[in-house]
Amino acid sequence: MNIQLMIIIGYLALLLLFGLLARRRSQGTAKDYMLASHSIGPVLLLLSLFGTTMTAFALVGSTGKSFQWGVGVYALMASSSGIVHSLCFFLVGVKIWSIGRRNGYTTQVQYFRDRLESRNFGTLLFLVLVLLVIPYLLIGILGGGAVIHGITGTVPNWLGSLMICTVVLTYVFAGGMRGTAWANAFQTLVFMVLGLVAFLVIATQLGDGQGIWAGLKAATAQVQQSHPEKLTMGPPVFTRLFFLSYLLIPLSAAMFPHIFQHWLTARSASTFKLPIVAHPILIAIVWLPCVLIGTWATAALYKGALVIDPGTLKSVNLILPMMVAKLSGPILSGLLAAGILAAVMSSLDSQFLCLGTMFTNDIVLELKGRDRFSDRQVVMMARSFIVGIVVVTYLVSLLHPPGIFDLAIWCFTGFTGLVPLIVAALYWKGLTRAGAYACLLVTVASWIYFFVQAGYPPDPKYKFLEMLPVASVFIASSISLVLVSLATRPPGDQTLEKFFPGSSGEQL
Amino acid sequence: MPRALFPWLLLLLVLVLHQLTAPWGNERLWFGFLPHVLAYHLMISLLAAGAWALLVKFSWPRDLADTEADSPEERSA
Repeated sequence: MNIQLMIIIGYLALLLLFGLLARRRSQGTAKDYMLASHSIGPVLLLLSLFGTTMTAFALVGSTGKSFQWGVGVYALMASSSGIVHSLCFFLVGVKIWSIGRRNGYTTQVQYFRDRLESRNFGTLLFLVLVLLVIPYLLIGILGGGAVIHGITGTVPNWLGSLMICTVVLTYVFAGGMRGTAWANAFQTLVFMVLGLVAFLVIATQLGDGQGIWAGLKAATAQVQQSHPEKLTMGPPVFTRLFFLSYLLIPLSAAMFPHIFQHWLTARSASTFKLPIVAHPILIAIVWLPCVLIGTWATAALYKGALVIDPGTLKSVNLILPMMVAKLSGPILSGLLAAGILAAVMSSLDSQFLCLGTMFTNDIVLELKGRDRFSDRQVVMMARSFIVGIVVVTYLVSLLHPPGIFDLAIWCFTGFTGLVPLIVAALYWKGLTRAGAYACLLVTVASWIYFFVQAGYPPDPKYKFLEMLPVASVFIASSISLVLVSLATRPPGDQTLEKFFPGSSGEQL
Repeated sequence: MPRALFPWLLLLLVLVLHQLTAPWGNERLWFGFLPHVLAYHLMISLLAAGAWALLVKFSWPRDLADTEADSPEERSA
């Protein structure tokens, strides 16, 4: 067994320990398991929200895409996310927390069922959310497998993915939301620190041991010589409308079911202030090194040879692990792999937990009755459903889906299409059940249409009216929501008073 | 202008700056290694954090029921 693999296994064992420790602190109730009893403070909320939004997409995906498109990837996703994610936390998260605490909600589906006075809408939304979360899970499972394979060179992707799934499942099962929040916070610190270390080590190596500063300059100079276009932005990849439409991709965070659940764990509304302010800075700390490493990889020379040979590269998902493996020693390489896995797993855990929570709360307990099951049985059902979804996702991951970045963009497109729904539910009394159905169905239909049009594997440069399909999906779902709501009957006064207290009698 | 509105205008300005295409083709390297467009967008990230700091200070919603945890045990996590 090589050193890298031993370090990775040691790190995974440490995570299992976290889950077990969180279990000892658990109050043993379903509420504690699913929402950590609304006890999460500002620092833990910041780290767990950030860790959850920074997936394999942020590390493995961003490096791979920068290899293809250059430094403009930072502008496409990182600086925009710093603005838009915090906007989601501010305008949606804080309000959801307030309504959720007042009414005892655990999931999105519960909220929409009450807000729209419709049980069936909740069930349909559950199905759509599960279908959208599966590709999101795929991103993590593929990323984990690619990292372990790329670093160790001996563990195949399928086995690496299986290891990741097993460890995350175990600590989520043991510790629930409390274990997930702790593990997320710990892993966020791990991947940020080790990510910076990786960046500095790679830079030093590319400078032939002349020091970090010389390495930084040498690495960029190599790109300047052979691929200068990667250091600027412009057509054919970056066009004005294409760039503008990318702003809608991070908006998807407003509809992520696992983020919704994390919001509800907050101790108070003020807890959100730190995550809102610090999120853009943390994104910069993680994305800047990854984008530079990916761009450097296009021309990086080490001991006279190309570090990444495009002719033999199997997948751009391997850029980051290969750069780490080839430019750092075995111990550091193992530690850095642990850091990347930390980012991958800090998203998977929340998604696993959220799926289980939605299944038990929104489907089983809703359809069979809340008094029929004990807390213990509820937790067991949640776990069984999670295992089922993970098995399906794992099997899909064996079919060699497209690159992580491109997969993520399609996944986020679906969630962004549903954002008008949550915004209207929170801020517009005129939203009706029919309007919500229209938004949901138009999102699904337009998403399928564009996915088919983009071909398979989807063309990452596919545009509609010079923009990403997300723009059309978002506009179509917004228009359908507004028009159908205006033409149909709004919810009753009692419901409106519940969600807009003190505003009865005001115009819709 | 109401004090609560100013941070929103600042955030809007950051968003407009984010969309400017003028820095895209600039080939200058900052500190000898950082491409101009990347440095520009790094500044956008920092500006966004600043705008959000002002927003949570001056435009925080006042109508929230800022309920603390149900019990002291819940706060101990």
